Amino acid sequence: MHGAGGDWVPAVIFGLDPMWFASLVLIATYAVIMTEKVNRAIVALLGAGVMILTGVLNQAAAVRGVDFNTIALLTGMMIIVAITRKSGVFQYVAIWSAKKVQANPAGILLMLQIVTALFSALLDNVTTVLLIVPVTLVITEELRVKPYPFLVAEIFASNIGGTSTLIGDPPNIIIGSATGLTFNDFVFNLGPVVVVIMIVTAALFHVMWGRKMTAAAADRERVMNFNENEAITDVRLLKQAMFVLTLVIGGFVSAHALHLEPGTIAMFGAALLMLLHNMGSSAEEQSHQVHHTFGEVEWVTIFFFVGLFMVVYGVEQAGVLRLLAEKLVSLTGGDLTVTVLAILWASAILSAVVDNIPFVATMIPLIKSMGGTFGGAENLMPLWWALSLGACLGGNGTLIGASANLTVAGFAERAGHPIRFVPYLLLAFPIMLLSIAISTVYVYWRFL
Amino acid sequence: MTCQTIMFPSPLVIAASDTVAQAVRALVSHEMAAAPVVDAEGRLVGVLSEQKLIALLLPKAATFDSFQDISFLGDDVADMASRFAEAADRPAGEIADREAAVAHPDTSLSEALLLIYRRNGVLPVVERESRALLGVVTADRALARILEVR
Repeated sequence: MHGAGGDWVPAVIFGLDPMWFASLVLIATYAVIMTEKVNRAIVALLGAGVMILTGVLNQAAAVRGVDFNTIALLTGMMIIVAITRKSGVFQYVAIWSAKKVQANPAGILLMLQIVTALFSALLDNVTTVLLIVPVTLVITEELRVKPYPFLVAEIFASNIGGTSTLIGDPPNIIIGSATGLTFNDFVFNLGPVVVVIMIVTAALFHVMWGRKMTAAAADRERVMNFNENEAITDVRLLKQAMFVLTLVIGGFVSAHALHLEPGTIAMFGAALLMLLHNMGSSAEEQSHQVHHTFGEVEWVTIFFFVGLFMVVYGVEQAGVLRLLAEKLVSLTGGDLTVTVLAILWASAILSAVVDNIPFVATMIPLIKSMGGTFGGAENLMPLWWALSLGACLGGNGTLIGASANLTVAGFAERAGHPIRFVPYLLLAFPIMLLSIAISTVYVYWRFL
Repeated sequence: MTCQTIMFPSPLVIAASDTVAQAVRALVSHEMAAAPVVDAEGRLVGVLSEQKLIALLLPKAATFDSFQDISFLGDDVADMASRFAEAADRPAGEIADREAAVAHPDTSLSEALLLIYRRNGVLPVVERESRALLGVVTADRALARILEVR
């Protein structure tokens, strides 16, 4: 990922041109990922293997291509969440918020969007919906209201909320790691527009759905009788988890001043929470608990990242991305405004249809190599914000646009209220475009 | 010894078109924890177990493995009863576990015991192609037959 070339010179078998061969591997990797016939982690690792076996990279170069800061940040946060969720705190907050609005469905629709957006900003989106959607389904079932509006609103809230921080959404993690942009940079630069988009989206959902929702007094009473305190299953664990989470978020906020990478902070937090969680347990219990915790890490995602970083590094080493960047710049006439808007809209539309992670991983070195054209790396800021906004918000456009969407759809199916691809597309794509339009105004006003 | 030799050939059977309420009454009067559900042609649809019936007392999403503890729901028995009442007229075939393990006449006894051990309840024995129900192997019957041999 990191621009510095290294000392490996690509020498592809049979004397093939590294540039077109590496491009071919990248395109093939993308194409197979898009078919969804083969698991994406397998595809990425195979692509990485091909890059090495054919001599585009050697093993040392491939390992250099892996952004271990991103890997550590993702893994560390997954471990922290895996332990924290056992305390029941997320269910507590969801139930508490529903009761705050007297179990009135329109109020719950709004509250659950806010809760989802806040959690998504601090945790990854898939985890957030994994925690919020089951409680939502219990609440809507008790209220005898259709869960569809709630689930769609939560998809939007998770992707929108995740856009606002460095750790909220994988594209931001990779962008932050590759560019050195800090947790605070993301909050200050993307936070304001995320708040606006969230308000607009929530208002839209209220007009479309919320204001027409009704629930019988007896059904609302049932939800009011929920006891959120009972949702907390382990008070000691809750305290430990809140302590470590506070420490980790504090660490992210002050990372820059402390000269620490987010990966270190997350991984240290994970180790600390595991220590606290296992304190006083016998060796056997510890090994069982630690085994279980590591089992909750989404290794498919982690290995997908590892393979993908290698594939993209191969393409970068072969000089393809520099060439593409030059072409893109010449297309936009070297005009920063045009380039920013092109990246924003293209990222949004592409991210709605393809996985935004490989897309962002490819765009990063490409944008970096535009530094020369726009007079230095510091002038690239608007491009990074445009890439983040486009890639994260674009995920709302289709049911396959982001992993969180598919997770919600999976729950909906199990609960007997499936979310269908085309109806979702017809509803969500225009709302996604609206969020990009708001982002356009913001980026133009703030950065150009 | 195979399933053929150890199975009970004329067990309690629930018709897929029976209502849930009828199925519950049949299970209770036969003191059975589970029973095979068959269609009009006698082919196995699935197994209706007490486990599936218990789930009807709770909100559907509350039975997802996402929850560590669902005490927050409160214990309103009237609510549970009314939830069950809503499902009482549904056909038993809809509630039955369609993925329940099955054995065939030539399935070995050891394998059958393992299947019962893993998914406690009844193990339907079906014809390989047609899934026509031939009988069931139950834990108590298997125990009794094996101890008889000594």
